[in-house]
Amino acid sequence: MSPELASLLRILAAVGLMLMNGVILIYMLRRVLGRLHQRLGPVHVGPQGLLQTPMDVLKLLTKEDITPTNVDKALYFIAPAAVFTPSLMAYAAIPFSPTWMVTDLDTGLLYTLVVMSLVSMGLLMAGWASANKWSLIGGMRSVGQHIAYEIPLLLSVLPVVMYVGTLNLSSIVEAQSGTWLGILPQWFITNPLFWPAFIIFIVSALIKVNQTPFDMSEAESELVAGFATEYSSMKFGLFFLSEFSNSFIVSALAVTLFFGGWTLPFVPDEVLAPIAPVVFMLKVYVGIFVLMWIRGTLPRVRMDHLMQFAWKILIPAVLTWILVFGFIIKLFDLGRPVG
Amino acid sequence: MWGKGILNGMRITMRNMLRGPITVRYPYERVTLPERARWAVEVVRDESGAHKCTACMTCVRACPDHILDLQFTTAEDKSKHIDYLRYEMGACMMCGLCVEACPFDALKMGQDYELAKLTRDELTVDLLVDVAAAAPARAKKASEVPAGGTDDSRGGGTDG
Amino acid sequence: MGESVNTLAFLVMALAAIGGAVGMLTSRNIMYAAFWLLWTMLSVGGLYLLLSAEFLALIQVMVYAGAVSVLMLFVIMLTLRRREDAVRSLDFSPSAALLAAVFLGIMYYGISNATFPEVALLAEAPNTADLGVVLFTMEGGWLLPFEISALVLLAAMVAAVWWTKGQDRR
Repeated sequence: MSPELASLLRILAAVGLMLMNGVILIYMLRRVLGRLHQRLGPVHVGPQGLLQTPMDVLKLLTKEDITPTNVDKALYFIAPAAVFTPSLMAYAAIPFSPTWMVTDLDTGLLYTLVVMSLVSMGLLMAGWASANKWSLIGGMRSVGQHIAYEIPLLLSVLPVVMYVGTLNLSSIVEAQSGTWLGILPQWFITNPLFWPAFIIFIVSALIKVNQTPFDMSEAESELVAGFATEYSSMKFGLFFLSEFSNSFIVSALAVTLFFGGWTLPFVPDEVLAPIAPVVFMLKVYVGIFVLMWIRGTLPRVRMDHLMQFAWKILIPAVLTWILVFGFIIKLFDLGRPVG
Repeated sequence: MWGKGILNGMRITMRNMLRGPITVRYPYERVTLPERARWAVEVVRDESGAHKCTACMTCVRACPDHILDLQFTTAEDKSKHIDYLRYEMGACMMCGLCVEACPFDALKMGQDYELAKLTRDELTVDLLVDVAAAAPARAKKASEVPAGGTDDSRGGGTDG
Repeated sequence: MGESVNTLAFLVMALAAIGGAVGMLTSRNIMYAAFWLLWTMLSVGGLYLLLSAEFLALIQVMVYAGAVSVLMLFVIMLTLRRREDAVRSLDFSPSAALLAAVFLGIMYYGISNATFPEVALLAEAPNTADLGVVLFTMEGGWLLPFEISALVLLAAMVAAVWWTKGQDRR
């Protein structure tokens, strides 16, 4: 098979994964949120409500695509694509197993974070193009919070990079194989040195998922649906696909950086090799469950508190921690550079 | 502080999740309402189907929504005849003040919660139509039972 | 095959970058101009990627497309009083035309007379780790300039913060 065809197939696989993931996550979100609220979630369509999301997708596809009269036509059409494309691009560097990945980028970690940061531009575009005050405020809020939390997000992964000396996601995973004294898996999360970084990472990554503690950009109680107010049919679907895909990416990043990616402790490599993608996906979905759990628990944070928290607490905290962490690993020579 | 509240909240939602859903899937299953659930106002009837209303108008005056309408005619021997006791169910807020006010325990809050109706007219319920009013005092005096009067109804007015 | 794909990619990116710049200059809607600028930045990032300069490409996208464009969009949105203000009429100004012509002439003269150094293409493109070695170690030789530039930027940031604080809230 020619390399071009192979890479094309890999890209197609990423698209397929993104679409499937969207459909699965909508169902999972409804069920998990329902259970967290002691409700049932969808139960009527199909066994256990399984056919609910396919039906909803059908509904979205067949719905009338309304374009309001006063929207900025060009930007209004580009915006969903500008939101969807970066979300899709973010799959490129995620290592599902030692061999399963779209491309093995040397700067995979930085690439994923940078590409994810482009999503907010699309949201701003959508907000402005809609010619609607709610949309505009939603778009502005979204960009504001993305910019604010981008900084702690990028800085919070630095300890991992300093520790292993690479930005390559598969090398980061490989650095986490093995166990501490045969008891704990040698994932970074079992190392207390990484806990502050992990907490900051999770808090600022929640912004990317755009869900309840930090969903000011589409706060229903004040902004109708934020940037998505004027969108209908599959354009709206693209926004939501991108959102669900972002929660997959965030969870995958957390798993890769802190929970050892596809590795499992006590399992020999020969056994692990064929089931590595399954292990990875399981870990990712557990991560997504935790994201939904947070979503089902916490109320919305007020916008000014949100920004204050980022600029006045998170960024100083993460800068301090990087300094402290750098001193610690240099003084005690703890870093384990790969390759 | 320091996220303790967040962790506590997470613990509570997880506990709720492990408890399982408490949803009653209504059209398929129904709950038995607690005894003192307050739904639409009904007339209390004894085993023989007799009511206890004396047409004293207390409930009509007690109703904060003015949705009870009682019309009666007084005969020459001072006995009352109820033309109708009309109840505007669509405007009722199920406060139960009429039931509390009734000195003869002639009204009660019903248990029927499926109150949706197809037409607006059905929301106007005639609780009593064209019956003689109960007269407990008269019944005690004459020691004969007219339409529905029982003699102990005056005493136990407030057990609820 | 790989070579032709690269050429095609280069053509697409280069045309996109130039087209974006032209679009930015000619669009009368200031929002469009900002988004065209974003587009140009992304295309230039793609060109860096074609040169195997991954890190530079990502930093280009992050800083210019992710931060600078957003800053411009914010400024535009904060200064626009109505949506209609976004569309400006094209004013013709002779002095500006003269200035542009002079600039064009100088640029043309400079580029056509410049001698570009002949650099042999490296067999293996240096990766991000090599860049780190150059920037952060004494052997790399760029440690001091890097630290000085960092200090200058820090001073600029502190000054900006101090400046924006205002008189009454000091």
